[in-house]
Amino acid sequence: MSDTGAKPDNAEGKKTPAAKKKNNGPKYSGYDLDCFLSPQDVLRAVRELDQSGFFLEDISCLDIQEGLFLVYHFDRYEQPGRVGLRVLLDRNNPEIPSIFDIYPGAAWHERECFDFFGVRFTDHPNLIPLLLDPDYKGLPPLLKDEGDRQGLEQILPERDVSPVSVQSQELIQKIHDCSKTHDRTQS
Amino acid sequence: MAQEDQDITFPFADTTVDAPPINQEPVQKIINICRAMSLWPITFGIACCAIEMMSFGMARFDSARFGAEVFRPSPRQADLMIVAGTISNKMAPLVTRLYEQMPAPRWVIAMGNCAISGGPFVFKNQYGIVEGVDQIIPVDIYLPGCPPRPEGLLEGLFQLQEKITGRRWWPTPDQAQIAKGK
Repeated sequence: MSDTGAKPDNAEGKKTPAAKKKNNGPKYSGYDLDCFLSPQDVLRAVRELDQSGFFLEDISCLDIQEGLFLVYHFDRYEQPGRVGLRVLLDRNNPEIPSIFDIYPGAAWHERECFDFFGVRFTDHPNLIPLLLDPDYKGLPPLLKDEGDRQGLEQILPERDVSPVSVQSQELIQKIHDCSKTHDRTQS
Repeated sequence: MAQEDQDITFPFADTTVDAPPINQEPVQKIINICRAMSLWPITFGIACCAIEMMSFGMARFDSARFGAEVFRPSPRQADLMIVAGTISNKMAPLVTRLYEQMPAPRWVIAMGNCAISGGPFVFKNQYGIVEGVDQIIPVDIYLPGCPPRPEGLLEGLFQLQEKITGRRWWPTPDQAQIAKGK
């Protein structure tokens, strides 16, 4: 995300902090709330999203230098607001609680992440391969080679990647506030 | 990353068939003409080539006028398998099973690049597809295209009829009479 989205009066190349910040707003990134979580906080945050009326869009995974990077997307119908939760898992032990009890539709998304990346979802009712041949013996196919992985700075440059604690009311408040229009018109 | 030397092999289909009850040359020649003029395909549209196969069976490029009248859902009642689409590793044993369930004589048209050789999905370390359906069943006609046009599939049908009977029954495109407009 370079400063190609800068306003016209910055055409001569001045980068004001305000112009840089504008590139991270909802209109540009598609997220009204985009935060990092630690694996043990995911259930609590997802329960809160469920009570606020969000539905699950998808659960996807990425193999990056720092580990396995899970992304949950949520959205809702009645009010605007799209939420992305990002969780970084250790590659040697990629375990995370399954959100099947809250969103049953997560069952197949989690099976796909298990199938292609080897992420184990504890308490999943049926964690078997979804798309690959059941006789497939080998490493999960979408894991990347050592030299091919990118780092978080390349994928999400200039982002604060420390997990937001769900114990603090800050995250809960952000979930409730993410439909506020004064934040959403930022491009 | 998929393993370099992954060893997914599927058994080739069992192609043993009994001899025909009346095995005399003139009788077989006549019966072959009858068979070629009424090849009944299985509905085996797997991927995008299925769309072209559907339009091959519908009104404009009508396959019924050349004998491929009904697409049978059951392999027991069909004699032509048009493999239209990409065969994934998960699907491969089922393709073999369906082929073995077809009563002899039976023919296979590999339609589209995926059925011929894996098509656009072949890359180093690919993990998901069988690179060409001739790795698991014997193929009679190869039909390139991604997807081949319905006219291409019709031409494949004509070539199969030529293979069965020994002669071509329909004019080739360069010989076809083009109706001259006013």
